[in-house]
Amino acid sequence: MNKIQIRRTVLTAVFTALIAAGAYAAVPIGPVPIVLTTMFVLLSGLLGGFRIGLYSSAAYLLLGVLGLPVFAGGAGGFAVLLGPTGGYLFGYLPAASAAGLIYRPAEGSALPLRILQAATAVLVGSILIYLPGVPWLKISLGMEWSRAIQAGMIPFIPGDLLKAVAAATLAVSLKDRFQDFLKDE
Amino acid sequence: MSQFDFSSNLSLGQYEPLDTPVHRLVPALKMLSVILLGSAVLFSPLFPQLLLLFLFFCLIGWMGNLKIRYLMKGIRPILPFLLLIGVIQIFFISRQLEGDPLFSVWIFKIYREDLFFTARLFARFFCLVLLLSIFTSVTPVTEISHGTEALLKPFGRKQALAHDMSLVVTITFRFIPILAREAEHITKAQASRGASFGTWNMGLLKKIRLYIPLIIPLFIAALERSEILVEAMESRCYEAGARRTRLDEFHWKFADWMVLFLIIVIFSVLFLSRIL
Repeated sequence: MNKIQIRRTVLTAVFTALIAAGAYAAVPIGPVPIVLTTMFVLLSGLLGGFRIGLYSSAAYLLLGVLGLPVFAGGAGGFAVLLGPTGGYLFGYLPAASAAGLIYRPAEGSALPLRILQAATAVLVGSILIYLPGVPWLKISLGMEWSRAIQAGMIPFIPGDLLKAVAAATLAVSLKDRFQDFLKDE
Repeated sequence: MSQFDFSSNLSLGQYEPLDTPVHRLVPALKMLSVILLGSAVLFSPLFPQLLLLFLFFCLIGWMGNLKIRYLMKGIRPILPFLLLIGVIQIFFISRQLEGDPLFSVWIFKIYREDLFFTARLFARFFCLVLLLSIFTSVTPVTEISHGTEALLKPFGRKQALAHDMSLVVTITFRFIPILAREAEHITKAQASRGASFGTWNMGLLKKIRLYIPLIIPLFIAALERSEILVEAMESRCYEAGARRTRLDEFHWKFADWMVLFLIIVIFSVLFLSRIL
């Protein structure tokens, strides 16, 4: 019991660190940057499961709110969370937990099935990031719907597909390799 | 070789070990001030509130014996974002605005509201960056975890949440430089085997493809390290949620209460000036 608790705390911290590190590799292409963060958020859910995914994305947001420069491009603070890209950041919470809920491979299930499951999880997770993200962008910059979608969604779809494939394969192989360590209960 | 030095580019943990009145404040107060002043920046209009806040932050920086030029270094990575948002706002967002445009360039009409919006955006980010870099320069990691625990105490059931959270913060901070160093090692190893890091004239897609083989070893290294950490903590009988004593204790002094009072006054004056 105690070990599980320690493991949960440590894993949460490590995934938080990875998510924060992912934000440093930001490529600005408009009001919304391309970041590795989304991929790491999804991976934290896929690998750690529902609870660790949720906790680590919450811890990431909390670090940002407390004023540490963990958001894209070294920004931080409450203002970013309420700024134009804040919706995406809030989307991390449901995305990571949904990914963890969906991807729970049964013991000894076939590899293609597992990959399919992981891909579904990633897909649902990505949609859950956009769901609060795009309307928020629209409202805070006073854009029209078409423009908000143009600036906040369409340029990211190819990258997201790439990230989704990478995250799904990575999750399947890593979950195998660290099977005992990542077991939640 | 400078593009390999991820760890030196990190703006986290640029703590300046000095002994000034700003450094001596109680950690929880420092964090509370950042939250309050940061949100004050968010809703303040450009003139005169943001200007005053900026001067106030400069004063704090001066009291903390920090160089303003050095503090503002953090704005550089955000500048491209800001310029882009500004350009989009000025040229591409069409709105039904009252009055005539200020002047027009080619087919674009430039409105005074848009210019104001952009100026406020820039001013806001300058203030925020200044505030955040002052905070990270005067607060070491141990104090951040103390502050987190103190601030979260009212929310936790039996202190468990506050304590866990401060532990998570501490471990996260320990891991960020480790991960950056790990990424540096991996990049160097791959570059020495022929990966073309450092040649910049290539397409975006190619550059992204180059970074994928970096992520996999990074994740494996992170998970392996955390496995070791769990073993280490358990073998030293770490118990989650147990009461423990500390090396440093922070007590609220008179000066801290005064600063808290001052910050609250500033915050409420700014807030009232906005709604009244």
